[in-house]
Amino acid sequence: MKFPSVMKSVMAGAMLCAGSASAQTEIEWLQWFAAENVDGFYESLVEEFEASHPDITVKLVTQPFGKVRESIVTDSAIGLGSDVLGLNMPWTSEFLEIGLLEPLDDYLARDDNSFATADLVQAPIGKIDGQVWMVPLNAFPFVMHVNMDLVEQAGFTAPPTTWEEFSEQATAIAALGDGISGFGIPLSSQPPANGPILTFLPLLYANGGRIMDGTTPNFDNPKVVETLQYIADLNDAGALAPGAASRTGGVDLEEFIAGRTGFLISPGVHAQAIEGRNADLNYVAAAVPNNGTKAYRVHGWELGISSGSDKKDEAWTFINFLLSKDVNARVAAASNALPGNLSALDIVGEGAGDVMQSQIAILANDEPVEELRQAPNAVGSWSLMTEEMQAMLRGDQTPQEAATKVQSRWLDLID
Amino acid sequence: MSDTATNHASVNEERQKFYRRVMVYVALTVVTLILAFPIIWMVSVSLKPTVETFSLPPRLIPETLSFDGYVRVLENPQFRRFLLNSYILGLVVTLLSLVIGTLAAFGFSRYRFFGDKTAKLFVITTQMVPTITLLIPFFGVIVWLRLYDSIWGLILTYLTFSLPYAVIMMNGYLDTIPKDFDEAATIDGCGPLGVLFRVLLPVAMPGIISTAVYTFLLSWNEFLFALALTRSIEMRTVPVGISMMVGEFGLKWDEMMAFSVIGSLPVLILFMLVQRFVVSGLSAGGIKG
Repeated sequence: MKFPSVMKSVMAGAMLCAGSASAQTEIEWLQWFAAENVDGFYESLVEEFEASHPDITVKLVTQPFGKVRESIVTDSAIGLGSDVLGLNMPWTSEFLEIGLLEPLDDYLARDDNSFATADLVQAPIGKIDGQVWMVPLNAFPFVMHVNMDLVEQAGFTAPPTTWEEFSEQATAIAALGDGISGFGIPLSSQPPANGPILTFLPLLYANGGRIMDGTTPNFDNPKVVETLQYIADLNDAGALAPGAASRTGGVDLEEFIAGRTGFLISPGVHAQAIEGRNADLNYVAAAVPNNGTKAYRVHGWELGISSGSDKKDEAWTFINFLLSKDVNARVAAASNALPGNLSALDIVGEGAGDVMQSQIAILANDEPVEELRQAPNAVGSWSLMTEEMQAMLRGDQTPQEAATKVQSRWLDLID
Repeated sequence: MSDTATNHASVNEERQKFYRRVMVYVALTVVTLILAFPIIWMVSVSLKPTVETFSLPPRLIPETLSFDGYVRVLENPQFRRFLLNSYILGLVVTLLSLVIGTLAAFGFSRYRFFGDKTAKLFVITTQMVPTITLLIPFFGVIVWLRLYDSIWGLILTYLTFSLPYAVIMMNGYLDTIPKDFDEAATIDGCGPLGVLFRVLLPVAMPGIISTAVYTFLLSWNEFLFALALTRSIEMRTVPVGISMMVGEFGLKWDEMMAFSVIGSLPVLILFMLVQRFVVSGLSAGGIKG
């Protein structure tokens, strides 16, 4: 009689194990953040989540940034889509067109969320088609990184704050010679060919301009033409680094780090690379020089839930964890960014360096702008801007002609 | 013709030979430098801090010698995993390609059967399809076979690329070996496999080595399918690992180049060791392929 009871015990144990195994739900998080950040940071974050949520496991899927957009589309098409998606705001309209994203309104309305919706960086949660599609993991205001040694060598004592000062200082720095340039504008056609959104848009916003009228492209407006003219004038004055048409954002950053350009307009998160690779650089971050409007382009890493996921509740539980104050503060600190949950700003600000403090000041005082989220075919649009701005800097067309061509080609693209 | 005139002619001929040789060496040196420059630059960048990579004027010899890139790469368990995956893939694909490819080539080379020429033509035709056009069908098949994000999915995929080449190469090489060898071995009591393994393969060693090098290189260097058919970090290979160093916010130049050097070393060493066989194997396989 002993044997059957042993068998019963074994079977009961096996069923218990099987029960606990089946109760554990695995969700997948596709992102590129882990490849950008401190080694092992996101892995430890996942472990921490799993320890506090024993019924959910998270599979961290890390792709190179340049492949994530295609992966999300192709994976979803064949039914392999991840549950939690790392998102980039310019991809939004494309993903919405093919129904890839789950609306988050109901999740945001839950009482048990670890954050208040009002505390989130607002740009990503603005409604499109009446619904919210993503939440911000963190935020990167675009800033102007300044090589103070070059500024001082050129005879100035403080970074420029206006377009006029910027033009004057960039030209004076370029005049120092020895391969030094005032400012680089990355207009390489090499994918992602996103130079214009790195440098042109921040300058345009600081000029009070926009490229969109709601969800319709509006590129050929006077403010755009004025900003293009400003860039053409900088080029004519010799302030721009040579080879703009083959210059990528990466080269732009590396030349600034190597002390070859006076100014770099890019996300504040670049401070990590700058300080990490050239600790001797006498460098500060400041607001992008303005022409009357204190506005900044805001970029960030966003999170969404795949519409094809059958584990949406678990996916939200994980997002909820990532947006909780303490965790979000650590995420921000790891990437030298501002938190997506602004209630964590005090933790991030505590003991933060000058560059982070500059970003916090920009966030507090200036207007955030993000237009690419609702821009139709945003990725295609900046390739057009790249091509037309290249032609403008070659002297093949005027700023007005460049703006008109981008507008008409963009409209053709979305027809 | 007088002796003096003969001497002059001989001296002129020697001189011309000398000049020709100098010109050949100059041309070879220039071409070698052009071809080797990217590799030399890769090594140079891997040994200097990133800030020096973009300094003006560019320096080939690093001002500050830095092994930080190598240390960071080798200390990172993920990169060690990428290397291990590439080795496993390379070795398994090479082994399977050689075994299956040699047996198929033996059949094509030594036996006449119905449809043999069509089958051979089909094998050759598969090499004419641009691999990029196969990506989506492969993706579907691998997912359907439930081999997505597994090393077996990649092995199967790479085999479909390397096997036709292995068959063509080995068939070409086996064709150069006289059938008298087979007959002599058969008289001595060897069966068909005995003929292949005891007689033909030792003679065909250069062909085997060149095929092995090609298949190893194919799986070691392949990027597109490795990226598309794997998902988790544990399944990534060296080329995909290198691409992951191109981030949204810049490139880790020293790490990328250090990993590229580490990734190139096995191939370089392998090629240097068997270069002689590869050249003879390729030329023999090419004659009758």
